[in-house]
Amino acid sequence: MDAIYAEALSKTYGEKKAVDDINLVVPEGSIYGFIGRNGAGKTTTQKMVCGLARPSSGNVSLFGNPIGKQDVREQVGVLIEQLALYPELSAYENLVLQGLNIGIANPKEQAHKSLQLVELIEAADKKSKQLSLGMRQRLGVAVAMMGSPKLLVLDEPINGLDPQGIIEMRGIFERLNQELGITIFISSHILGELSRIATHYGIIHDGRLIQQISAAELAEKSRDYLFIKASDNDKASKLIQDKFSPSECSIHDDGIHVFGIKNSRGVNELLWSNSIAVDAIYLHQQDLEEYFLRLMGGVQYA
Amino acid sequence: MLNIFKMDMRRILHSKMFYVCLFSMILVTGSMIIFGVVPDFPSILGAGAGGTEDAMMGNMMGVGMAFMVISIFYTLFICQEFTSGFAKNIFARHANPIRYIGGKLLSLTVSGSIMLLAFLLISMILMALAGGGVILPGGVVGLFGLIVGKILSVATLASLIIFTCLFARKSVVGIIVGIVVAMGAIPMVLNLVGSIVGLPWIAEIMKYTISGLSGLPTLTFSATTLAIVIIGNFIWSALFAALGSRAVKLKDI
Repeated sequence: MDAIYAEALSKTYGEKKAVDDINLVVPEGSIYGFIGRNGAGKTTTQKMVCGLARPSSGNVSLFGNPIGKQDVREQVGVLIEQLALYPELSAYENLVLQGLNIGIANPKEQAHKSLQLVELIEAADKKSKQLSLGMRQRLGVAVAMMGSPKLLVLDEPINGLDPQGIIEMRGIFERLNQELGITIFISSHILGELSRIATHYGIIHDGRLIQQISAAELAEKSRDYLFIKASDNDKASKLIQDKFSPSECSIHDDGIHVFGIKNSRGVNELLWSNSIAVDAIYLHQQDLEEYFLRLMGGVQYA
Repeated sequence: MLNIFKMDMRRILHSKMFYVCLFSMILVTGSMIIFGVVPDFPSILGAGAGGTEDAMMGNMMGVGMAFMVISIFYTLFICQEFTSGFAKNIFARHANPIRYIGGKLLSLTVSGSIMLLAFLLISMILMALAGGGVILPGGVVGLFGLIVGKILSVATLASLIIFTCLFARKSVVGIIVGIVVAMGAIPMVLNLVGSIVGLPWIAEIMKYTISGLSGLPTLTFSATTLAIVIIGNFIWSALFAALGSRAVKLKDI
């Protein structure tokens, strides 16, 4: 079953279409990385998914049920746009209030467990405004986790964290997903970090979801390949296929992409021996960030 | 609804804001009685003397200082949910906005009533100290009727402020609305306009406004007055609750 299924979802503010007819599928149990530039429509989409913004058109269902149903809402924890904490109240008190909000039987006990989960037990009595950014982010996740939701919707939860904080948050997300089976729908600008945990990706651009892809598919698409720019790409391609039988060999505007072989010296010798001049040959390695940039048309990612 | 009520009551009792508002209300009330700032009210130390409990409790517990302090407290309490972002935690978990509005109405009515009862108690003690004891023209029933009427007015004020905050999301707007109601500014202006243009029935209608209804209950019990207060406040509360629910549906959180 899909944790999130959004169909033809749109949101318009005045004349501007913030989200334009997107179909989003977040599989249950996944960590779904939601990627896009600033203003691409990530936050608006996430707000619609958890009922904080009303779609101009389209539908959202969570775990097979429409978002308007109360029992569906009880399965969602959110951390969107800013930290949803009372600054004057302690970390513990913020958690207890959230426990009361969602009506769990033992909010104090649950607050303790949540503090332990995010390793904030020593800071329980500190006012949330006195906590460091990293601690506040973790507390925000703990608040979202109250009541053991099946789905977490997190908007830029690692923004502004130092490397240590990012590592800690990654550990928390992995535990929540792998040990508790929680589906995580997370947006982030830190693509390198996202690529370490995400099992699926959605790429949004100017309000449109331009691609949904699993991590396995992405790995396949962005796998290493041998790049060759030769004086005669057609002939070179044919020679390489005959000699090395690569898994894939395709000619692009910029050159030849050969998958399944890494023997650049052998290829070079083959082409030279057949009187084909080689302008460039190297092993190309592509990560999520580069994949995203290529998809965006090479525009600098903000 | 009960979840929101329990959450709110815990926040009210764990925050300084409630106690500051309660203390400031008691302080101002006590000062007015002790130093006789208002000439018609009984005073212990000031020049004014000989006022009645009805004037004190009827006027001040309704339109006036008490409503002003309570409306400021309500506004700050609700708006803090939006400025802190905690409202997202609430609305993400509650599909029906009536759960939020109902819970909030209940908790604000309870906290406002605590303030009013504290005000009443302090006033009665200080007036008794001013000399002459506490005279209750309608007896205990009259006092009970006054309290019920004022609590209903506080509930209506809560409903109005909830709607205002959900619609405007700005504490300054909520505070202005609260002050306008507490001062009875709208009935005052319309009464004036009515008398200038020769429409005396406007004054009659104005007693059914929120400000007008809050001034109706007195220590002299009147079943008719109480019925008007109950029905009038119920209608206003329901209206603003419905508008508040609409505001939540129309505006993103």
